[in-house]
Amino acid sequence: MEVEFKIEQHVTPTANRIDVQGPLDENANLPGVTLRPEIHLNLDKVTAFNAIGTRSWSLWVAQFQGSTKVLLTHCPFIMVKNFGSVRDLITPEMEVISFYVPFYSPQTGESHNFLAVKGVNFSDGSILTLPDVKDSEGRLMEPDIFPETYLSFLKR
Amino acid sequence: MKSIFKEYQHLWPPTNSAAMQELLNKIVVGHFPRDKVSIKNADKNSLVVVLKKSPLKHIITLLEQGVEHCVQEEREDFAEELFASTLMALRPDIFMSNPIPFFFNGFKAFNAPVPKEQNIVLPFSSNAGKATVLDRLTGFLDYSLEMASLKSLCLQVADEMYTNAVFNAPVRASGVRPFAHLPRSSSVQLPRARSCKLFACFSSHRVIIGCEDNYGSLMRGPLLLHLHNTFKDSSVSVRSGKAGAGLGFKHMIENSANFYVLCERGKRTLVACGFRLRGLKANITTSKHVHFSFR
Repeated sequence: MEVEFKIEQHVTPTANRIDVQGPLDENANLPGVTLRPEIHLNLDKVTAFNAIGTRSWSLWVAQFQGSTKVLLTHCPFIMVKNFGSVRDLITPEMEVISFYVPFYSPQTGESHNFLAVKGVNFSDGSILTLPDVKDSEGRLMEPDIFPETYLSFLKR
Repeated sequence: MKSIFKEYQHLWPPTNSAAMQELLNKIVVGHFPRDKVSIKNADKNSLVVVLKKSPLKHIITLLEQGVEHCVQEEREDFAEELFASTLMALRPDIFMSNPIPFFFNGFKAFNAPVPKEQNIVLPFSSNAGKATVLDRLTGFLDYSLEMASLKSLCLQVADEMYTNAVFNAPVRASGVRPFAHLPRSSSVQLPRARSCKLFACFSSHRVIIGCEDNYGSLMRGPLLLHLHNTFKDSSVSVRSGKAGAGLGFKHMIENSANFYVLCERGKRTLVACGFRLRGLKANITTSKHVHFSFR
């Protein structure tokens, strides 16, 4: 079912928690943001990220430059895979707090998205640990990424 | 350089290879980098270049020399892609007129029917219908766990194909592309005779997403220059301005294991991506089969 793009801002005196939802594409209206010392961008419900959405994102996040700390949470695979290969998707103020690591089971064809969290599963520059993820038949699933490219944004 | 048949006949069962012999004998194999000088001078209409775990940079260099088919030898679908290259080189008209059986049957029995539930054709003629088309494609991809695991890659590719077909493909007789400079949120309606179609089909081991327009306006030179600039460094900048962001082909090529472009000048362009039903990694691999045919 089609989901409309939506942004919800939850502003407090010290932070603005922004939930981004739906397809980040040419129809996504990215509004002005109430700046606070901390901006939390929750990307858990981003459903698509096309070329135009990529450009809109890079222009939108440029407004945060120099003034605010921006924390990204629940970054989906479709965005993370571009973090290392498209410039300006992550600005110097941005810190990735959590992102999804896809797992795959060659035996059952199942996939699973594991949420990697800073300080628990990764630090600046490297992955610390990923848990054992099992498919419905109890077999270990494999991380379905190439770490050198997918995680390259950690080394910036 | 030898013919495909002479060098690789062992890849097909004897009964099949005898039947294929005539076709496979007409196409020559060049190995990159070993045969790079001979490749440069060869007749590109009857050449397939075989590489081994070669990155896109090498493939783009070969395409710039006029090569049309680059196939990676270490991949398990190598034999299939060799034969695909042969058919695309020798019988492009059959391929272009109905590509689904080619993709579905793995190029072996390209006239055999494709089960209804294993393919979908989604016509469109305006950008307003994109969400609906992608929604139907989503439903199609949910048919199996293997396809569902690739949904984000497939949908991103389909999205870019759709947008290219509506905004970049239309061209007037004067050569002007009336919609190419427009913001992608603009409303564009194509004439009925020029409507496009997005299609998908799957077999036991792969899913294909493709898009066909009725303009045939894709230009080999500018596209190659764009790809060269896109892949020359490890990261790329987004194109500024209001029209395309310049990332569509990047997404198509990076997301898929196989990439096909067939353009019949002035008539139609077919762009398709092949995804292996083995998780994301098997597709975002750097070792890609690329076919690039302009007639």
